[in-house]
Amino acid sequence: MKKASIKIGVILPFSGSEDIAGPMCLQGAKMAVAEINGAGGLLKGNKLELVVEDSQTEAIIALEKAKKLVIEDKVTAILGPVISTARNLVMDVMREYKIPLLYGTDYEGEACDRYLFCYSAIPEHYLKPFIPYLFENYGKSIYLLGSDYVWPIKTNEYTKRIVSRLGGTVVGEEYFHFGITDFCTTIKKIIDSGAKTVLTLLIDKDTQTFLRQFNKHGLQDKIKLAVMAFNENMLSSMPNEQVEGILTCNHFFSCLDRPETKDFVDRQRKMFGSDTMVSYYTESHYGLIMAFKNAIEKTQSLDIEKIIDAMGDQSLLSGNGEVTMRRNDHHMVLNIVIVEVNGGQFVQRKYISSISPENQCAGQKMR
Amino acid sequence: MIKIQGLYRLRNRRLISQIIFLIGFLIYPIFGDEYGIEQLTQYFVYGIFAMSLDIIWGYVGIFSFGHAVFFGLGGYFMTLVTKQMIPYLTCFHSTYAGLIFGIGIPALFAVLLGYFLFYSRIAGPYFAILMCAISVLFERIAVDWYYVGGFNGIFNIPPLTLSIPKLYAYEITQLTLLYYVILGITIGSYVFCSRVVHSPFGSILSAIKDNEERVEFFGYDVPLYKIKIYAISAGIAGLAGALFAAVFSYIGPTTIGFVMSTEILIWVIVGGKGTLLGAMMGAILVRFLEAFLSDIMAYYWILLLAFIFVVIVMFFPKGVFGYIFSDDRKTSENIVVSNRKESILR
Repeated sequence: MKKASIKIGVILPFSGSEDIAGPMCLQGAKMAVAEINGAGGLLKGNKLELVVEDSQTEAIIALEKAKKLVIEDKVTAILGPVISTARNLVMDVMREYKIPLLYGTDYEGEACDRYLFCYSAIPEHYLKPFIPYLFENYGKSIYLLGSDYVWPIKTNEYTKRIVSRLGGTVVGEEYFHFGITDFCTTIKKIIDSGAKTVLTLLIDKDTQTFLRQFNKHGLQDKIKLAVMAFNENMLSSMPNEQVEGILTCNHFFSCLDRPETKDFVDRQRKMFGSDTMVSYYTESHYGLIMAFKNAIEKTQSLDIEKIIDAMGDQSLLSGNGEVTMRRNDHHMVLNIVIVEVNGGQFVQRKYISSISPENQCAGQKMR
Repeated sequence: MIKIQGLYRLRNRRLISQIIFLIGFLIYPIFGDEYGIEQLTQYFVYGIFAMSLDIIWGYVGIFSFGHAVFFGLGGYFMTLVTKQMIPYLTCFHSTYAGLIFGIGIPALFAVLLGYFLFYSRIAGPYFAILMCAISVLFERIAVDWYYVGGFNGIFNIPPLTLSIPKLYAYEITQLTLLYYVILGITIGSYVFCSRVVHSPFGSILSAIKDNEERVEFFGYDVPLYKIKIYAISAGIAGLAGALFAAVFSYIGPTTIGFVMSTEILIWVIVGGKGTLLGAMMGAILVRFLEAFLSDIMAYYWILLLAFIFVVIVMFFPKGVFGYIFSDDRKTSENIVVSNRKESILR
């Protein structure tokens, strides 16, 4: 007799403004499922099955899809979505139906819920090592740029705290609406401010616009650019000279010189072709499914409350060293890498292991 | 023979199809699953919104490419009122107050806009572009203004509540009940719109659509008529927005801006312009197609959907439902024409 499959819903953007992220996330999830099923499945041979939905990068659509997955497909967990607004909306459904949401995108932090697990780099993860690195190597004045929404603004609150603690100065701070086409005045302000580094937290498409114009003014050699959420996909989509020398920082890069990373990237390439993009999105979504699998194996049941309890305080080896899902706030202890673009490739500059951010549930009660 | 066919066409086709759809919607909860009921409830809200555009685009020829402004205003005001976020007005927080503000404010805004635009003789593409700009402007305001939730929007909006102040309050959260309440409001909106366009007032509107100058020569104050119908349309769009906020328990900048303004155009065109019910069914059909196609293929569904839209526009110029729901008057005209043709042939 065929065993019933354990369904995991997937809500990711395959169209709309974040459509670059969706496929990379799904690759990670697909590989995790293939590996688990290849090894005989879960419990008594039950296979994992993904039910994939397109969120269209729209919060309301994500909500609709979440309801569909929960009510119609009766999924055991949902993986996704990418944007914070969608996550907040989907959480309403998760709380109501008591099903866990596995979230794998870097975000602003402080989301705290019994039914939410964040395999995400939050500002503290990358800025805690990154800002000191910038100051040591390039000088203590920094210019902050961001898209005008919650992630950059919240992140920069944290940036400013670190900067002042380290005795540096924020010489400028600006936020832009999505789809901005002209950074000329901003670039002039950056030059006038005498900033040694520029930290950008722009959405993908605006980052590209900014880099192009920054490069046109020939500033790449004079001012150090630190670009957050810069990944393999964006790197390959831009001409080498426009991205040369960019610094970025995250919990996974496919260039890492570590055995587990090489193995991870190889497995991805074997499954999706030799030119496939493997980014931190891929790794985090892979890791989430693996963590969920571990929890099911540990409890030997499909009782969701028990699985949730077993999710916490587990360590796993995913794409970059051993990482831990914490029990108290369902956030991760991650290994962080600082890389620089050199000849169209990421090159590792500094490796910082086990960064454990403050409790993200501090001051809140986990519902 | 011709006469019988004509009579059948004239009186019954529209009525029968209306009744079939009505019965279908009424009995749907008996065999539909929980998810389907929830979906359809949400689609009715979009349907009301689609009718609000059709009443001015299909019947008066005003192309309002920015109609989401009224939808969004309705939604935001419903939210601000029921969540007691408007200073000095916190004593009004019932669903009724929310609906009054959610319908009234967009209608007032439409009067204001209409006064300046219609009396300045701004029409056609200029009007469309202006409305588009206004809707983008409102989207910017919603994104930048953190008090109304900014980019993330506002969550946890109270559901529709039947209440008698200080005595009794009943939250409509049960799925099937909410379905029938929204269906009721949808039917009510349809009947209202239908009465408006088939009234003497409506006849003048369709005359304006056909030849604005001639109506003016007869001594009618055309801009005033346009303002009136625009306010009605905005009020209904506001009602849809207010219901949206309560049903989804969420309102955000996308609902007031460009994307929503474009989507509604697609609904109305696909369903059939100038038929009210066609526009409403268009919204339901498009949303259903989106959900269905993106289910069966997560990657390529948008291409297929675009292809379907092209096919509809090319081969069904009156929309998918335009033929079933088209107006009696137009049908009778056609019949007269076709009868004449046949008599000439004979």
